Amino acid sequence: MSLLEIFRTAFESLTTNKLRTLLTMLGIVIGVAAVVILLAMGEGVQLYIDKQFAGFGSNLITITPNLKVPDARLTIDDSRAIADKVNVPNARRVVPSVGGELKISANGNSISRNINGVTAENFAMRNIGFIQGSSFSQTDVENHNRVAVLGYKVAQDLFPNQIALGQNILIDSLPARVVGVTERKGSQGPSTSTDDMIFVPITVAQEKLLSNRPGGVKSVSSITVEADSAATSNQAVNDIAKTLRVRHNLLAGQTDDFQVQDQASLLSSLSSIVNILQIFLALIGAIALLVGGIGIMNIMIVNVTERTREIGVRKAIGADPATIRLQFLIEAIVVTCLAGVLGIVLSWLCVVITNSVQTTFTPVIQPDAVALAFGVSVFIGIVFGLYPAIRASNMEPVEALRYE
Amino acid sequence: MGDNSLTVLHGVDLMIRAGEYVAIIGPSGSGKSTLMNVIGCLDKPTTGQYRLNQQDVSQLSEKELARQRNKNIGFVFQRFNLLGKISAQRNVELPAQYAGIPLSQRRALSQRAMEEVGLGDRLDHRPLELSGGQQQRVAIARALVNRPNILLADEPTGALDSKTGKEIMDLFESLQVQNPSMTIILVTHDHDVAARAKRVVSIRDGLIASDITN
Repeated sequence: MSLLEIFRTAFESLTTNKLRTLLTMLGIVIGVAAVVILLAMGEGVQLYIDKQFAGFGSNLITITPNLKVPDARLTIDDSRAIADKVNVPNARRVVPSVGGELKISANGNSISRNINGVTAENFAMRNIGFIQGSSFSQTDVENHNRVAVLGYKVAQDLFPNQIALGQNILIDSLPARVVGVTERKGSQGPSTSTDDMIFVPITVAQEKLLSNRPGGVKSVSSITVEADSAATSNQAVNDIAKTLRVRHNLLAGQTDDFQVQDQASLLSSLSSIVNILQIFLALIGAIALLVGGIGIMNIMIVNVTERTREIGVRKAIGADPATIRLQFLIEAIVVTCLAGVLGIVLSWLCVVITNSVQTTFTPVIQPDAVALAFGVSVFIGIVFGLYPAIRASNMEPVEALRYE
Repeated sequence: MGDNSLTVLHGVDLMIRAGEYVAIIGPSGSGKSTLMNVIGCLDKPTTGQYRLNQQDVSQLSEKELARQRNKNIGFVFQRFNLLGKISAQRNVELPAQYAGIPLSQRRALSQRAMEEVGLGDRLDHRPLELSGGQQQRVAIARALVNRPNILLADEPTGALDSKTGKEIMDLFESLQVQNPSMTIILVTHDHDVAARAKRVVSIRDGLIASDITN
């Protein structure tokens, strides 16, 4: 009997007990769908992170004081030294910043938000656009002008349905004039979104707003450096470290009192977390598949026992053991393949639904995941269908015919 | 079904020629079923020989025995043993399918066999949609489809009323008229059924008690 005929016979048998076939498949359907969906989610999260970092600028380097070293601090002079092309040739822009949370009131509203004292280059460096007004200028920074740029959401909170541009606000007790409102960025990975920030000239923040910080007026919270390109980012990291060690009079063997982190390494460490998560999720799916496989074996054994007489008849009219074995094996494989296809369809539906109800991140079904899930389904059919099939083929025809 | 072996047949020496119509008769436990299983290549004798078409089939492999059953033997069982979920014609086709005959040819063969047993108009019926007599006719068509040398019937009328049983016996006779070279072997405990055969072999306690040709 040809393979095609055996497939036909397998379909014939499976369609005679549709409900049981469906229930048998359910375990595999869920297992396959779980694997595909979880991997699609993982891919979606990965893409989301990549996108966030792309909007952020992947050649940004962040320098912060090393909190493990007592009295570690960065100053505005460190920032100037890094900006010097002699020290760090690959630094295109250097932006020191001072940050802290303060109360802001205007228009009868009062909220607490992150105040960022920065230089004017901050906005160009971080690709921050404006829906109203513009950035404050370097002159504003040098002249300690009391001006502020509001994040998109901050402007909405303070001035709902009003133009924020040109309005006066109170930061703590310091009056400032709004010169710009940033465009909406959405959430931005691990750090606070610019939507929720207020930017003021760093000179104002240092002297008027956050002057009682540890480290004094000249200290800064962090320094952000933009390298020429992602390729030179690593070189810049090394140059920055060298410059700061000299400036901070660190001896060989002494720990850095600062931390230099580029976005690329932050991205890769985040990616590896996502990878671990994906492996973990795939494992859960694999367990579901295993349980489904055992279900298949269980049903196939019942199936073989129930059809003992049929097996006897088939043998009596000339089916040899190999044909019987193949018939039952293919029945199991057909069940698991169908289940695999259903599982893939189910996962596709879930992804489509997920994408239609939210837009924050987009799960992506990966072809490898589909191939993997389908391959595993066939494999399960073979592994868990083999024993029942062998049992069927080993039946003695005389005894099988006598079976009640 | 246990592991205890039991000798059922003791030195049975029996020769059946092509084209004979033989009834094997005996009470239950006489060994007639075992003899039938050996003749039908369902079971192998532990000692001695069984020659089918001059060939010793006693030592053949499972696969070879399956081939012998498929080509040379047509089984008819007491309880028909049709597969309930497929049509009568599909049931009749099965031996041809196992013989590797392509679908279109199989269709023609199974249709012809169904016509021979008088059910040419019942091809698409499921077994349970047919009467007992009709089901047995389908089973006979299935036995005929590969044109076997031997039609081996085990209590073919055992599950039928006497009128239907008589019709089945009439069918066997007409089949042999149409296929003179086909051997018909009937296993039964019913003397009236056995009396229809031309030769009656009587088995008792694993031995041939009598062998009478009418």
